[in-house]
Amino acid sequence: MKLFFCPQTRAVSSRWAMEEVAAPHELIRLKFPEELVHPDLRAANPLGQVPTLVDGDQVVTESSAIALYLADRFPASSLAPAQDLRHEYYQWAFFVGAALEPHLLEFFLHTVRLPEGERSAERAAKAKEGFDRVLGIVNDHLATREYLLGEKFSMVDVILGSILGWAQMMNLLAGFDHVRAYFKRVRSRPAFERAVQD
Amino acid sequence: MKLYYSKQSRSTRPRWVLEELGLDYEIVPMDLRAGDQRQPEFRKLNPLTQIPVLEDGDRVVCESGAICLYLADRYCPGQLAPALDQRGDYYRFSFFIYNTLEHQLVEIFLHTRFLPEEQRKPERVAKAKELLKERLQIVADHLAERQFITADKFTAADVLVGSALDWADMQGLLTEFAGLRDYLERLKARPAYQRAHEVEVAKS
Repeated sequence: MKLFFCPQTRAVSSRWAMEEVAAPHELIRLKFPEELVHPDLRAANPLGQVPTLVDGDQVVTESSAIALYLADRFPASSLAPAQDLRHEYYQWAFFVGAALEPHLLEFFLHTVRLPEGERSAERAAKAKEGFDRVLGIVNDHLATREYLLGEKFSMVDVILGSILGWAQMMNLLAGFDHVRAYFKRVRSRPAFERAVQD
Repeated sequence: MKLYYSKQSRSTRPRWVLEELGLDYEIVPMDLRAGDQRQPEFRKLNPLTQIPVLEDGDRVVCESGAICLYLADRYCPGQLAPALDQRGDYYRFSFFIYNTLEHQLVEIFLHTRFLPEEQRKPERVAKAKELLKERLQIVADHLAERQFITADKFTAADVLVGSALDWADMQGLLTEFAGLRDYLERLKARPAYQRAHEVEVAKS
């Protein structure tokens, strides 16, 4: 199994997922963006995206998809609920990308990424407002739970924990105490620490 | 089982899955213009105040993608979801549609139809169309050598991909993608698709 990876990108989420399932793998470390032309990566994924996971004849992209794929592929890691009990598991997996991430991306574009002349303070403010509203829902949910699914860590915590890292870098977690405590909890896992090592 | 539903929305996706699986369900029509989704009872089910929501006994599931995948795993395992160690394309395209491609469809819809005219931004439509084209090409390339997302068997991932393509087609955005239109026609010929779309629900 091969994971095409660039440090400090979304690919960290997939490396973290890989460390959680403790599967033997080859980590192909590429410099972003100039090494995305790597021939092995292009052969598996002509778009040259990271993360890309290659497992025999299966090629997986999208960090949330890679996380869920690995949890199912390595059931001994016990990071996915039984097949008939996945209502909350899938809900949170989709919620992060659909409800939380668009606001975060919009905020990032209009405060950091775009050239100053193209940034819109109005769009940044609206994104922050939307993000706060959605993160408030997560905060309420975590008030009485250690992890998204309750007492037990699961793969959806890798998905949320990864996105929160990005929010934290933009100082967007202030005031959400349950989220912050949760973030600290998931980021102190040895698998996460291994995922950010050189 | 209850599906909180509004016609011509993402609610038809889980309804399509329910029909594929032949399950009994009740539709709870939601009048979004009247603000049914903001009523306190509904807010308890989904604080995001979005439809669809599925109630299956004491389980509540939000997010149309999640409902589809949940149903496929919970009922008739094997019929609409691949084996657990064969889910690369299944998850990949489910999330690709939901997290990536659909954002452009929403953006185009907002700025060509939904927002009041003075708030529509043509440059945002142009940008979204450009991104959408790249992303549709990814799906088109994948389907160029396959009948369905997971090769030869229809799954819940086809419901998600097909529903997004259906919406793109309604907005006239598939004209350059003959292969995707063929795929969509294949999906729309399914009796479950037709049942999920034909009966308009009174109030919704």
